[in-house]
Amino acid sequence: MLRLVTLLLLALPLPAIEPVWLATFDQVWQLVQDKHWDPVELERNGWTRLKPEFRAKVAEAKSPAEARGYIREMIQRLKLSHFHISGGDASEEAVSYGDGRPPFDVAMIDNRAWIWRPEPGAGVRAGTEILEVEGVLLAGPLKRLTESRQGAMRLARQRALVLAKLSGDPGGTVNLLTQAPGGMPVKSTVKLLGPKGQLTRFGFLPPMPISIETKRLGDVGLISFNLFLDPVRLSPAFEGAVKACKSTCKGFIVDLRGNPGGIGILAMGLAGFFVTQPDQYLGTMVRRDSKLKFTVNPRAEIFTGPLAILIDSSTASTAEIMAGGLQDLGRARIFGSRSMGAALPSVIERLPSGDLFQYPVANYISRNGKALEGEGVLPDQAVELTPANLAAGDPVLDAALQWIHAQKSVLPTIRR
Amino acid sequence: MLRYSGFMRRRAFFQLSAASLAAGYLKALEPTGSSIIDRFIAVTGGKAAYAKLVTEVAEGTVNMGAQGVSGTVKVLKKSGNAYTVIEIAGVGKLEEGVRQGIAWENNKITGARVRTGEERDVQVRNAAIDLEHQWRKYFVTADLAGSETIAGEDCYKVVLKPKTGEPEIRYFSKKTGLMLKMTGVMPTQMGPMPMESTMSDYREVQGLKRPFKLGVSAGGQAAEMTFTKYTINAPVPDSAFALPAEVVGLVPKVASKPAK
Repeated sequence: MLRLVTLLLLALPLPAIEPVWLATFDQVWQLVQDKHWDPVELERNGWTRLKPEFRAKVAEAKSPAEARGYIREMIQRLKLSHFHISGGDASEEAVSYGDGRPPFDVAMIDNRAWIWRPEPGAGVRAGTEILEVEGVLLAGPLKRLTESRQGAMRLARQRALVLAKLSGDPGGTVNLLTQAPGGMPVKSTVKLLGPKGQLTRFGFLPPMPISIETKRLGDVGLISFNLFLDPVRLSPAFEGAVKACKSTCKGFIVDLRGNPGGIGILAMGLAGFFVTQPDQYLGTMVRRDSKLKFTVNPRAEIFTGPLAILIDSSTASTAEIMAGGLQDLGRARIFGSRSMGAALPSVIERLPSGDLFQYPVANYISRNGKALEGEGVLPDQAVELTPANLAAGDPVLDAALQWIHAQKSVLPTIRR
Repeated sequence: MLRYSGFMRRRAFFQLSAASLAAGYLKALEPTGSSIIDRFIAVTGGKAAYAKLVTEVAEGTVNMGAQGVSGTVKVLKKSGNAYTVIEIAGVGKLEEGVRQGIAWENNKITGARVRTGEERDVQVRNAAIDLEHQWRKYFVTADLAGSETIAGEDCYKVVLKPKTGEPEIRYFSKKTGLMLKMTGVMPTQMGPMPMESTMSDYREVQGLKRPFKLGVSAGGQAAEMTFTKYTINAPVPDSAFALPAEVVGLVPKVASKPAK
């Protein structure tokens, strides 16, 4: 009898994927169906057709990872940014080993990773290529990204991958193999620093460190920040920096390099520190049921002198909206390299599986009529990074400072 | 070829006339938009109770469950002045108010602003303490525009046209007379925004029935407010409606003219 029971058990079909994954699939599909801003375009991309195909795959999936993978594959067919399902097995790009960060920044040049802006005492030099991290060559993973990603998005993903591989526990160490141009490969060990900034929570997002830095570079004010979040700290920081500059600064720089965005309408509010006229707008959010302008709200304290904004391939979303909008208004000159081109207003919801689903709910059209998605913001003054100019300092910042100092003081800074 | 006899034509004529008369009779039995609103006033307390309304204060929580965002909400109204504050972790305070005809907003995201034009007019109108029972002061017409099912209840759909601006559409339960939903297009700084709000969990507060649950959706986002405390005619100092310092500096620059 035992043999018969065993035979029976072996003959039973493997348990189907838990119903929660079909519910998760249905919710993802329906949210996109209901919220995509252009139903005609959605249908042209075959969204209705994709449902039975991928639902069947999810139904047959043998694990949550497989089910999640099929859902991701389905939404990737739309080829749009701001579609993301977080949970379970993250892709190689997103694996982070801890909150600790390397004591330097990373710049991507020709699909290779270079050390840039090292902290004092980091023990590494700017303009040095990173060949290996913990004994693993970077070349392979970086090359795989060249096959799947293009343009600014590729550079951003490559940088994110390298930074992820350089992460770990704060205070821990990471072993590197680096090589300066014309030099020999050198092994070194760097100590990881703690997260930069103050941890902030918002909605379903995990706690994130928000760093805001303001400084004076001679007679030029500068503010740099890593996310458009924590308006309680960010807005007053902008206000303080603008106020401090009002009769003493020749120009002002907003550094949006590496800033992936955040709260969309924060771009409206922060732009208001640099625009005096009311009824100006950065661009238009196009939803299915409405078109809403990102109207700039002039603040009580406004800086009216020359404004430079720094961007790079990791500048995305709300950061692109602010940079591109002020560029279109003729208010700011943009320096650096093309931004990511990932500028779709989006929301994040929790799925039945417990995963978080980020999806876009609107298109964004710049003031000049271009969709930022896929295109990005083109700098007025492109600054190409080379190992040599990385070693010399910050060529993008230098270019902005040079421009500001070359400007005549046409408009007085308004005293308020 | 078939031809209709004279008899058939007369029969068809009488049938058509009878149908028209029946339709007209049924229409005459339908309530008017005005009577539906008046019934709402009656079932939520009556004109006498509304006439005594001087202040309203509601406090509770706000929840955008789909995005995992929550916070607190407080709403005050008194004699044409109003103040609302929503506080959310990670965002701070979102404030708006009306004081002596000046409509304003203030928050750390978009900054302080004095509202003008239609945006101002709507906010000033919504601040009126007598907006519900003296609705004829603020709306020119209230027309019945059909029926719809809201939250499982059959409702009259009433379109109210204000003196200026976009109409509001309100839905009143045929069975209870309570207002269950309101829709419209809200004028905002970003442009006209379709908006929908739902009302439920009506409870009596000092002789008036008030909804303790308010669902709001606009701009693709939805939030639910649940009031835990509601007071009618409690003393509210005028200072509660004072303009924030960030707004005071903006007021002289803005002419608060109603929309043409």
